[in-house]
Amino acid sequence: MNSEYDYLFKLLLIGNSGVGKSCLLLRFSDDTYTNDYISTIGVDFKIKTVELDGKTVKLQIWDTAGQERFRTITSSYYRGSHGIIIVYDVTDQESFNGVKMWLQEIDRYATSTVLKLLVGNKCDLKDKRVVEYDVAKEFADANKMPFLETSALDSTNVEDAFLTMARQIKESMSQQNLNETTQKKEDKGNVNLKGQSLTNTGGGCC
Amino acid sequence: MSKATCSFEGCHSAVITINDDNIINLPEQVHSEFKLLENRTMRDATPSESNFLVVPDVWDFDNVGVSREIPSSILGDLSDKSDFVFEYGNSSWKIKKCLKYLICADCDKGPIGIICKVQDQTKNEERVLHLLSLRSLQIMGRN
Repeated sequence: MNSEYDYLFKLLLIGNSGVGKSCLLLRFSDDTYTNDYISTIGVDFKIKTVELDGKTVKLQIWDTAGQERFRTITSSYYRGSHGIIIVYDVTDQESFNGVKMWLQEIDRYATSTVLKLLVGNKCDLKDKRVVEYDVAKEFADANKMPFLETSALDSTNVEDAFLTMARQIKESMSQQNLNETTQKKEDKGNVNLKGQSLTNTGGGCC
Repeated sequence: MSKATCSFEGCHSAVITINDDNIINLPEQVHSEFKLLENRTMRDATPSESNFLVVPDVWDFDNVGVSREIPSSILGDLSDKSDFVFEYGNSSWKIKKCLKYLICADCDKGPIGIICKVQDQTKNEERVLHLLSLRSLQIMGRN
């Protein structure tokens, strides 16, 4: 069994009910054989393994699966997450309006370093579109997050959504490590005792 | 090494690389008891035992879905099933409780396995293991 991996990221899928969050996790769908037990119980999370720049990345993806209807998503759901994918439906204006509320939830419960991605789903339904690409893109830019339109039906950009998120987190972590390394170099010669920074200023031992 | 993949046409998602040392046998009725998926190409076969792969760590999976907790209304009580015992890691383990289902991450088909609470028959210690039903999957590259 190969449990070797270079990165392990926890991702969340959030957004209004009915926008197709769960569908984003399905690469192949054939309702003929869907098991009633699974539908009834619901899915807790999924693990997906992706290759990114020659590295093996394990993604643990959590889906709210209906809890959002009852406003029962608690702070524990956000805890420890590296990335959050906010999904809306391009044919449903209300779901796009709801993105603001989801961003407030993230600010409230998630860590300040969490990375976000905005996803407009069901982009295959061109004649039913009510949220224009440019409007959503502008909103995403204003909130400093990348933006993608997907179609779970014909798999447009679905894989890209998770890869974009994973790449963002990976780069952010690399940057963090770089900052820490730089910090360590700058701290050379400093001794930290209970939060006091004592700079070694002179030669000699006394 | 062989790979266990989803058996559904059009999916074939890679579930895990099989470590033969972790394959165990359980009685045939485990499949019906836990309502596990039968690989469609194997439905006619009725072996007396079922092969399962013990997966100690969920991160060992390449791609897998984990269900929410299984309500007792679906599976009932296991306390009288004394024959659901298997050998693993120099111990004899009994399945005490089926906690969650394992499903295909890419098409939601399943259950292809269970997450269960097991008890060491000699030391009485309990632990949680993932048991993947090889009969519910397609095995690629087996020698």
